[in-house]
Amino acid sequence: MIEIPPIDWSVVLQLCIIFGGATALLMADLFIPEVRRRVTGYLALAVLAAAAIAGVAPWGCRGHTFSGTIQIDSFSLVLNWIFMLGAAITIVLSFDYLPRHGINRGEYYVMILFAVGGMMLLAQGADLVVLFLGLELLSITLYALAGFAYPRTTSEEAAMKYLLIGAFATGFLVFGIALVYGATGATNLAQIGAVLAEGRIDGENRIYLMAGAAMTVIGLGYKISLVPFHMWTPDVYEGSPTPITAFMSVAGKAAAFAGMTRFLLTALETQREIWVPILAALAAITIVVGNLGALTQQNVKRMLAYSSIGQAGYILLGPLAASERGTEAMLYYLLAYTLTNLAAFGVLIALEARGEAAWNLSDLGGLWQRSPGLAIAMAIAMLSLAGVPPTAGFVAKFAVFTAAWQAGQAVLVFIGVIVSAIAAFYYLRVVAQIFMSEPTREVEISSDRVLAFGIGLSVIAIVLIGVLPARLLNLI
Amino acid sequence: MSDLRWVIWLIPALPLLGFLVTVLLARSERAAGLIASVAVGLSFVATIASIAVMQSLPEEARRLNIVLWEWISVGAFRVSFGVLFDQLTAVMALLITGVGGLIHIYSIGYMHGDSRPVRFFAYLNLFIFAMLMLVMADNLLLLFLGWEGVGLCSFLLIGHYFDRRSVAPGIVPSEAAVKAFVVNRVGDAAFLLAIILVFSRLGSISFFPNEALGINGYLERAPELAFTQVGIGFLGSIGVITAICLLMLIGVTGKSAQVPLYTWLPDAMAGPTPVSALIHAATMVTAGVYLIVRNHTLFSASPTAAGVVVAIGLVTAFLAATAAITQFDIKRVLAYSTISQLGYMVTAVGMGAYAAGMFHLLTHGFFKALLFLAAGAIIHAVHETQDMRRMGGLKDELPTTFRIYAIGALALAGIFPFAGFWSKDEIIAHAWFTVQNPGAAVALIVTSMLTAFYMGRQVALIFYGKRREPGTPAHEPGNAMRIPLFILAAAAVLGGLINLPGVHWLSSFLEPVIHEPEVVYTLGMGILATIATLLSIGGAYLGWWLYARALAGRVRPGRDDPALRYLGDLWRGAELGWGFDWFYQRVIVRPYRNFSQTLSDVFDRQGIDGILVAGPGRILGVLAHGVRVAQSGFVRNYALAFLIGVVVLVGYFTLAGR
Amino acid sequence: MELIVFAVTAVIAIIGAVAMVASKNAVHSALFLLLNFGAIAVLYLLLRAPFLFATQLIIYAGAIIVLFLFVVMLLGAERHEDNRDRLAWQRPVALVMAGLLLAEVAYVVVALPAQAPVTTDEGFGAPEVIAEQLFTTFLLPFQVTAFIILAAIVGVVVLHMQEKRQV
Repeated sequence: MIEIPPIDWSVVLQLCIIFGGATALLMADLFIPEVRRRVTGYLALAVLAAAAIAGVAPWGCRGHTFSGTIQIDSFSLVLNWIFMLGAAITIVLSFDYLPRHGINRGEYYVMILFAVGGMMLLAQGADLVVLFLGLELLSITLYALAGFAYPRTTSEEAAMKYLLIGAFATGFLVFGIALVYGATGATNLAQIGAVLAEGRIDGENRIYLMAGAAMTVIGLGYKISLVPFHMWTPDVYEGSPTPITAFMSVAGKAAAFAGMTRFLLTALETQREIWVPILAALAAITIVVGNLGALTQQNVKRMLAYSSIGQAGYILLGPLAASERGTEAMLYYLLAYTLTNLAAFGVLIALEARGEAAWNLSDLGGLWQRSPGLAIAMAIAMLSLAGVPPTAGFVAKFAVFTAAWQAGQAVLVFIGVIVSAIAAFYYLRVVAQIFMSEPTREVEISSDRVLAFGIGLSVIAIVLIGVLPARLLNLI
Repeated sequence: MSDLRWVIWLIPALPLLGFLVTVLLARSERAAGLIASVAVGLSFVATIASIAVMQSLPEEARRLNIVLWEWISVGAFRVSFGVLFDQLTAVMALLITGVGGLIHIYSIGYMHGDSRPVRFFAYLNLFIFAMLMLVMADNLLLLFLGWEGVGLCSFLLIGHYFDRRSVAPGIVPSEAAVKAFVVNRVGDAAFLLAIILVFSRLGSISFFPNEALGINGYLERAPELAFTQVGIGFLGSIGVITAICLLMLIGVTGKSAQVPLYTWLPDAMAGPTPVSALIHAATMVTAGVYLIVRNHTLFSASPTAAGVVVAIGLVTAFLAATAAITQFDIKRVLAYSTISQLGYMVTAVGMGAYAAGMFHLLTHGFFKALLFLAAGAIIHAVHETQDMRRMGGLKDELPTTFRIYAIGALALAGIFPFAGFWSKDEIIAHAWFTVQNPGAAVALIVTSMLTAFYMGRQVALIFYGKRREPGTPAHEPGNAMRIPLFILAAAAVLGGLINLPGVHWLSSFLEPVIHEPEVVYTLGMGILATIATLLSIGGAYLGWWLYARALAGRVRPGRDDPALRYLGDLWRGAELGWGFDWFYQRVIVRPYRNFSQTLSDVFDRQGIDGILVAGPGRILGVLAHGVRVAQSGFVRNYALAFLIGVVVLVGYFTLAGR
Repeated sequence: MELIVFAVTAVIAIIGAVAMVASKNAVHSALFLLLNFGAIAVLYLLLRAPFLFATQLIIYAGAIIVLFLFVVMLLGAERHEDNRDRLAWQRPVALVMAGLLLAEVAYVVVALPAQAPVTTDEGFGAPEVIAEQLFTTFLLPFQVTAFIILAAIVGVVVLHMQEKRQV
């Protein structure tokens, strides 16, 4: 007779709501006719809202359950909210997109909920096995979502490339976890940390541990598009349905950062001297490569993909600082970046007519004359990405820079600041295109109210948390 | 009166309100111009009211600080979102709202018939707001917000004439706009590093302590750190304060267009002329000078940094003056002249002559705005021509404009008793007598001669001789443009009064902020001033004589300057702004772009090029597609890069973690 | 005895893996994979992990490979793919990198003196112990796996239906 240990349901309440809601929605969708497909979306939003509200009560508590494999703390709660916010805005941006592209299926929303579940596992996981499963759940749903726009071969190609490289990465992650387990006899992050703190691991086991740690970092680094594990990013981002690109670029990245931070700061906390230099170097390379790659792109979607690689480098400065400030800065950055990228992709969605991609830089030409609202939204998003005050992007960059500076990463900060100055060039080129050129061709602009609402909300939030970040930073 | 302190936040709030109202409500050119001008006018009134409130307080309390909210607060890192109003801010705010207001009114006339007037006035108001935030910020980060904000507005306004393919030969407005912003961002990056350094070493980024919030001020802590060193890698170490000052200085060279980052300003002349007057002459470009004066305790604590500031200022003043001589575009002459005059101010504040620097900043704001606006009137009058070779003989056709322009030119040339004379003389006197640096003083005097020379040349080319390109007759500007010109002309004539030797209103007004000792005037200063003025008069006459008499017949549209024959390459070099632009293109921009292009050729060539579209793959279903994608070579390429990463990471971890 | 069995199965496993990658025919590849899986199952047995041995045989060698073969044959993908290299430098670089990785692995395994491995209980790896673990320590991961499978199924079905609708 196996005795199941007692379970503290309050720790996993949010997860239960998401998974239960997703499963229920999967069935409910069968009874919703296609013309009313939006109802499924609204139900998904309701599930997200319920889960978000469920996160209010445990605020400030810490706890773990399921034999310590899953935990709850303010770090994971903030991240969960970021995921839900990202997912909710993605759903809002999709309402108009799906029917326009003939892919109006209810499973779309279900898959997004599953992806959120995977992300939450990454944020709340206290065990390498849970982190791995969370990453897998996230990946599998994203593969399917990337290929959702089936008739477009680019979408299919994106899904395929994503799957192949993703499988490759997963192999390393699993092997890494196995090696770490072999060396320490534990998969629990806190236990690994404790074993390492005692300093009992030496000789061969230490080498195993290190090889395992390297592979685990690789498996997670692939998901945050760390150079040189980034090469899938532009293709997958370009080929996927635009709302999914937005979702992947923000929530997916945030989840991978959550897992990475947990692994580095809980399990490998004592090995800081080893991982900080190499990850600092990778962060620098990531910043440079991402921004260089974006420079020559004429395709805005691809440009944003490269920009997201560069931004990942900046976000990595947070965990690298290995301090509370650094983690706070990372969380703020993730939130700011989530809002900003969703706004930018939202504008692209609005410009994307059926079966016709309007992603070229010249398609944005004279946007101000055609749609002032979208023009301002895109401009603010670009300024936020470039880190111009008073947008959220500026506060975020400043926060990670100061945190990294105080952690002694002066060189890295120096590189980051210089590159971000030069990066202004390609972001500003978009703004110049919007305000300082004539329209080159007529692009059909979506007039969907909900879509406009989603973009507007993101943009207002970008400015608001840029002007009033104190409250938020304290909260985190 | 103390409960009237809130009036200070009206100063920036009104232009912001004006911006919002213009964007949201204004639909006609008339409404936009009116709303924008009224907003800035009210802001000017608020500034005067604030000064009255401030002066009514006891002397030690004359620094108003209203914190609206806490901007950032993480542990020890606390930044307020607060406005500061002291004597220094008051002077800047008066200049910004005063000259700004006049330029708004002028723009109503100038921009008449423009295709995007609402946008223009909205940006103009936004600029005034950002500029006021810059000078009223009570901490460095908020100052940085304004600093970037003015850069952004400048970007938006330079590109205003995007549909005129090319305003001056070879310059595309939208490219000039991006160039201005990116060059400025390079300076801004250094400034941001300076802010981070200030915080990490001085523990705060607020200028002054705020007891209510418990925030320290960093300015008063500067002397404590005068001897602390900070390592800069293999280059050894450097004083903390020196490092901060030098980083700030890089920011200043960007915003205030100093060597080596000045190259954006001549191109920025692609914007409408009122913008050139307001942003690229009178206000935004002086932000760097303001920054140094605001942080004068830092700069005073680091003789090394101050020395570099002086050197940069002198080099800029001289080089830009020579470049100004050779230009034919009426606005480019003024642009280089602005760079040169900014060099003057930077030299002054570098030498510790803060009051003199501010004095010159003010008078320059008056007469340079005047010159630009008058140039705008001329450009309008001769139907959007900016090339001085195609003008000439306008003295009789535009008598009023001629007189106004002459006043501006005399003021700029530093001829007694115009405004420029007093402020320029004070800087030269400071260089010679107070800091005992005759070399700097001589360089400044030579520069002022050159200044007089190119203004003489410009006046001669525009107003004397015969019209070199006969066309429809020129016409005088209308009232909306004329009245601001008159007011500014009066300021250019009488501006010297605000800091006359012996009276020193401005110096004593600023004394609580900059703590500068009173200058006692001696006979020597009088002699120096006389010599400098005589040399300037000589320079001006020479410039006028050469181009109105001796060489006048050889100036023709489309031809090189006759002086080129005598000076050759020297003249060419000056004409190109001494090749900084060329250098950046060759050494930075092009290699960077090529490198990026190479990277994209190697790693990004394929993109999504429809590997799946070609071939019979489509009927084979998902698995076959997968095989095809996997075989495409590119995915293997990705996996290869991945593998390299694996080798490096695993190798590093196992070796380092042994 | 154990060493001999290990050596033989290990060599078979490596041969199977290499041949699977090298083979140009998809069916052959699948069959070589089967060989590899079988050899690995034996290795599990040598490691005293009977449960893993059984699952490896039943699920991988049994179910998955059969599925592979079905799909490959049904779709007719056993034809030779034209895999001319579009990027000539790829192969040598890849080989060098693979060599380096092998060297690293060799270093990890060989370079240091062997040490007592993490001690395990007598029943480690036995079916009952695994079952207990799944219902106690790893109860949550066990549950989550269900959702992963559900998500994967939904994904496959959706993609398939999309395809049908379009054709």
